[in-house]
Amino acid sequence: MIKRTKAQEEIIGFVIIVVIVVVVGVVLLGISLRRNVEVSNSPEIENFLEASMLTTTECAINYMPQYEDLQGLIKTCYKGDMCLDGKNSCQVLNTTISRIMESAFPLGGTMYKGYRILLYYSTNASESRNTFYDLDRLGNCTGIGAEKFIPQDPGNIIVELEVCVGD
Amino acid sequence: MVKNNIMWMKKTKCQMKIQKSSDFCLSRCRGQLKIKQMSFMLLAVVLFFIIVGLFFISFSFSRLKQDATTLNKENAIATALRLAGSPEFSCGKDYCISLDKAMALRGMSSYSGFWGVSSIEIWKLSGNRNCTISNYPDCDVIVIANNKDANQILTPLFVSLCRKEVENNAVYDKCELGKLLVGYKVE
Repeated sequence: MIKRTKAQEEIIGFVIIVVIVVVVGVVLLGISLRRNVEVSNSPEIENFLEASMLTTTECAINYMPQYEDLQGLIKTCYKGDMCLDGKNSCQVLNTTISRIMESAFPLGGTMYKGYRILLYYSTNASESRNTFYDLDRLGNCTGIGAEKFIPQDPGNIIVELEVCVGD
Repeated sequence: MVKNNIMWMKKTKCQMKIQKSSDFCLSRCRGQLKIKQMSFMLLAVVLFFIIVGLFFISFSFSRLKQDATTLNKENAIATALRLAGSPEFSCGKDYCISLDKAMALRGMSSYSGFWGVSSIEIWKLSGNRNCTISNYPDCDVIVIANNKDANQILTPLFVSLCRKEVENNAVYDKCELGKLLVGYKVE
């Protein structure tokens, strides 16, 4: 009787160890898989975002020829203002961003497989986002990316760019 | 009768001795078994920790390699950025190059060897026409320096290329996206 109880105790101990090892393994696997899916922050994309924000656009707000740069146009589009020539600032923004992206990351026959640029306003990173521009040519692919903060009192406009790079 | 008794006692003593020795043997065997069990358990535990350790090391090394690549890229970009931020190129903002200054610097013999790099080229993203005084600004490539070293690594940096434009009798800065290519000689 004592022998049987001892054997049962050993089996229970063994099962507990196996369960602990399996749980730890699953947690580690989950963490490593999640890391692979996340978009990795890239210095090249960060550099692209910084440089592209200075590009002169075709939208002037105060007088000609004081044309807005891309950063200014993003703010203008968020506020819903119009350009002096009567064009919708968000339409000009769409044209400008599409042109810049096509020249910097041409798709088809190049190393670039897709990209997604997202503009949203947020007062805090954890709070809700107000997305006002989304150019998605990414497809089913995760790649390198970066984000840039444009101050817009009381919060920030956040520019998120993700680029999928193939072999 | 006494003899018989003595004989019986001797026999019993002998049997007890045998019983004792067999008990001793049994407990010794069980002890050995326990030691074997424990050694197998220890071996399994050690093997488990070795496998976990190997997994952890390979995981951290893969991240280390990735971190090293990112650091190298950041270093290369920082060097190119330092060059772009120098007064000879800068338009006054970060990541911004004055095309007018670059055109003036192009082919200046006094600056040969000043930069400490093998080549410096400025490219617009629109094409590949070489810039001369006659076709500027309707051109795409300005070659500032090129030592024509055979083993060169080119570091591209996205920059904003700005130049002065006139419209309605007013001067403004017109900027477009381009690339600064800095070449380093590999020894």
